[in-house]
Amino acid sequence: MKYKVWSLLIASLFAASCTGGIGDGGSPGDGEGGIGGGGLGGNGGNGNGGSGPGPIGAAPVVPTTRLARLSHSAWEKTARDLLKLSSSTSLAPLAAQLAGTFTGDASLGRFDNNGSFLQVTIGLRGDYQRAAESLAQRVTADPAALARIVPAGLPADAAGKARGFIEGFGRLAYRRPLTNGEITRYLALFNKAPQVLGSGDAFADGVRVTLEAFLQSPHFLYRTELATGTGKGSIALGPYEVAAKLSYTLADTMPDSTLMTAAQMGQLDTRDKVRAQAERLLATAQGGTVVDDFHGQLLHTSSWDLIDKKVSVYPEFVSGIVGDMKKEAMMFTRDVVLTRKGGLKELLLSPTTFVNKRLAAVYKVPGTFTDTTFQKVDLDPAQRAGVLTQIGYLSYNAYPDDVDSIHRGVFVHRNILCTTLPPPIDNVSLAGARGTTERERITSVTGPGTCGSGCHSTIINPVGFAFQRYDGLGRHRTTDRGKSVDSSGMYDFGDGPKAFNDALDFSRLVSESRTAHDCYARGWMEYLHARIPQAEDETYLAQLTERSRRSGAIHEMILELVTNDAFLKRAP
Amino acid sequence: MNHKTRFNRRRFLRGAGGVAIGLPLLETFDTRPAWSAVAGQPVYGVFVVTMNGVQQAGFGSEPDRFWPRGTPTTAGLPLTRASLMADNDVATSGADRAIGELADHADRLLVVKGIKYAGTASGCSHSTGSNKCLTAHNPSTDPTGGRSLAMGESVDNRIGREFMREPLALYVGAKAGMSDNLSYRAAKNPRVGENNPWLAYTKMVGMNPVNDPLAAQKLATKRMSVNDLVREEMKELLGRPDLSTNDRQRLQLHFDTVRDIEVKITTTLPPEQITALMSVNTTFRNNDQRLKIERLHMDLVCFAFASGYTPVAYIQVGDGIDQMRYTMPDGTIAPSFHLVSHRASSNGAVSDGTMPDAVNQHHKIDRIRLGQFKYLLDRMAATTTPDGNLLDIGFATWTNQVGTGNHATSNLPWIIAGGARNFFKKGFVATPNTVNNKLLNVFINAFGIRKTDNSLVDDFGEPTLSKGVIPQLMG
Repeated sequence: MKYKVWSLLIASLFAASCTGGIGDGGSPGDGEGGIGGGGLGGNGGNGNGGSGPGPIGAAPVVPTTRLARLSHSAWEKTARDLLKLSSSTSLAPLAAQLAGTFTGDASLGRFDNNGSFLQVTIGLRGDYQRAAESLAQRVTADPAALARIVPAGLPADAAGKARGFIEGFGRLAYRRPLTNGEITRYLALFNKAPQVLGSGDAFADGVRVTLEAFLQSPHFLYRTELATGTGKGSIALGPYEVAAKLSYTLADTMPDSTLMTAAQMGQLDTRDKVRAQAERLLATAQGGTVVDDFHGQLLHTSSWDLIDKKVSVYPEFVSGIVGDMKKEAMMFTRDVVLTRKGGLKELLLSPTTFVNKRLAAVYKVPGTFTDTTFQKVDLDPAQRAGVLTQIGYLSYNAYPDDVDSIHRGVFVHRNILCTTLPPPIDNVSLAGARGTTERERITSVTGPGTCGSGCHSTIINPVGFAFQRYDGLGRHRTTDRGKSVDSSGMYDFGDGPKAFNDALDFSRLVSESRTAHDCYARGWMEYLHARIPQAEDETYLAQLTERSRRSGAIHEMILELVTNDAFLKRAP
Repeated sequence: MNHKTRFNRRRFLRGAGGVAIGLPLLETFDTRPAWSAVAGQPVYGVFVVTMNGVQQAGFGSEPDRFWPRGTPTTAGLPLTRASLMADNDVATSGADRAIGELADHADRLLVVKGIKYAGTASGCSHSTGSNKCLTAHNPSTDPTGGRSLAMGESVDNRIGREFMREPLALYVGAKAGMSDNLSYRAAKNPRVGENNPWLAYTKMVGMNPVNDPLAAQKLATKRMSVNDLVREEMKELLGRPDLSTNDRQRLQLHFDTVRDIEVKITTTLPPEQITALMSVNTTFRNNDQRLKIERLHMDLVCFAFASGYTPVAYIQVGDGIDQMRYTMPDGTIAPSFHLVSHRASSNGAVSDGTMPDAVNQHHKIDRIRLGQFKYLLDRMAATTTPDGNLLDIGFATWTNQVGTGNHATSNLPWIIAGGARNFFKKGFVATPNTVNNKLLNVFINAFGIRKTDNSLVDDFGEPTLSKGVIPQLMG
């Protein structure tokens, strides 16, 4: 096999330049003005990471979108929380049902939350309209549901009540107080509603129509960064903008009352204070979704639904097991990151995971299990170590009746090592493949001395072959077609070739490599900042990588990334 | 650019209020008042695009079992029901051509051989083919490979843009990478197809279609008031001088939709067919279910045309490496179609020729796929208008992202059915041996779209490609 292009992205080593903290990005006076004004002062930060290991070097503030459309997932959770749908049995599933009908977003990046890519097409605009109309109708038709979204203590008179609703609800919908102009605009719409709907309840009519408008407003559909500044440097986000960005990044929904109050009270003006809020969010059930979603996208778990196995070869492949694989991956990563406060090393080396009856049968874990309850177990450390030896990854990167070493190798390169792999040339033929085992056959046509030697023999194949001890479902094995499997190999992570005997050995080498930590840190930056890292980020990323490699806890990396300048400020 | 026929968006509000259109039990639909309000003669077109090539000559020493037999002359090869029946008559003539599935529509067919891609490739032919099929643009170099994107708009977008209507974008099957690479609004801006026919229907008519004129009027008034407010907010945002180009472009797209969304059809399907749509299970592992969904999509295309929702649609069948496991006529289930198309055993998705009976299976899958296309043609032929049925006043095309299972980029299978108001020649096989941009130019012209000097559109696709149309296809 021959490639037209071959290049490896070797992690660059950059000289660390540990200067500055949160307030160094702008000129004095930045952060004023605008709807979200009053944000972090240009020199107001203390440069102290609080209870954590402290901030690393200054994170450059690079231009990015200031109008980040809510993902469909974020829209669903925001609608749920804004309208307090969870408090009603009949309304609880409504937001999810509506979001499930939305026109999908094209897959344009490594992660699906890049604000520069998400747009409102005509199909989605229609979806938003239908959803807004449906939600407004259902909520205002239910007196209890309507009462839940009406702020307490409104004046009794109709005009005061209308204004109070608009100001109170609008503050939550826009994630900031409305301007006087906006209030006036909504009041006009509110007052027109009885003529249009004429239900006999003027207040309910007004709420219904203004709800429709709130839910279709760009200030609801986009997380905006519109605060202005006068300095020449970076511009601090306004306090409400910080609250919204932090909440959507970590919890995938609108800011809760604590965050909104903190914004209102000016309690998000230092890095320490933002970190405290971030830690609080990460400790909530909703805050953990950031860990689930990031690793789900990293491992492509949404595509695991397409896993298909021949039951005649793998009788353990029973109905429901693919969902189990996804749940195992989610529980494992959440446990490592949030409970054990572990790092990438734990993700790659820990034999502790979660299984139910179906998974226990594949892993051959002794004990009593049920299909519905997952138990925390220690797998045989001589067979399993970390996420790459769990059956989700192994089964996804395999054929219905056999392993697929090439794609196992490609997956690790692209997602764990961030290797830039060119696609194979067209119409490669394996005709003439020789040997008994899968490794022998693959090697005979892509190994040393073949046209594929440039890429496969030293790059893709060794990585894929490391997983030879796991069959197409991920069951541990010692033979392939009657012959002993060979999972040994040699791979150069950028600092010289290193030998390994099997996947456990290989995972250990990966966990020690700067390349893997760079890839992992780069992924977190891309995901949490919802943008592709730029050249200006490399120095900062190198420091983040080094911290990760030195047993840096992942939750600390998250906290660092959501409290640095790049997160809390914007380019002019 | 101008065109002979302005597709009047506003007519939906003026006519056809509350009309129910029966599909697939189609009768003449009574939208004459709406259509007669149009100054010109609208044309409708749908592009059906399949994946993984067809079983034809060009893959090793495999025989051709796709195209009609015979060698087309410059004037073309006549095509009749009898000739296609003979092409499909294994017992008598030994011929076994998949296109025989379309014999019933032979006099409406224009089979185009010799269409090829030109320009650069992404390194992944599935991706390159999907990206070029309806765009004739090169794939991107960033991203590249299987994630590459087309560097220009697609023909459905171009047509929809001319008539200020969004193409109906439909997708059959699961989505898992390389999913939506056919239709593009602009370079690197792909359109996403809907794979649930019920959702596609509700997006056309609204979640709760309103048939009562008074209620419809109230709804329109309410929406107008809400949209006025939203528009004001968006204007304020667009008026900010400090927004980036990217933010401004995305906001402008959103702003434009607030205008377009005011146009809604008020035509609906009968209750029993709505029930059928709602009951669809989008479990795409199931062969029968996927074929059923494809046919429901085809029904919706007819509905979209008949109701005046849009003049242009596409149906993508399968993702870029369609891995559907088709059920063969004998009831057996074939392996993943991607592997079948490569004649490969499970040990590597490459063309190793080790899969038993893969060539036959691919041929049978071609027949299944063309059988599906025949269903669309049946439905379009049964959908009548005062000017003729949808195949008289419109057309349907069937093609594939690549030519063969080993990714040939030449002799791409293109079948055109329908006259588009006598624009296309019918009942013959043409072999123009040219690049697909010229064929896409022909489709644009079929809608009456012309350049500002009223000459034929000849410049769609990659600017570096040779311009032109294919005159021998045009009546």
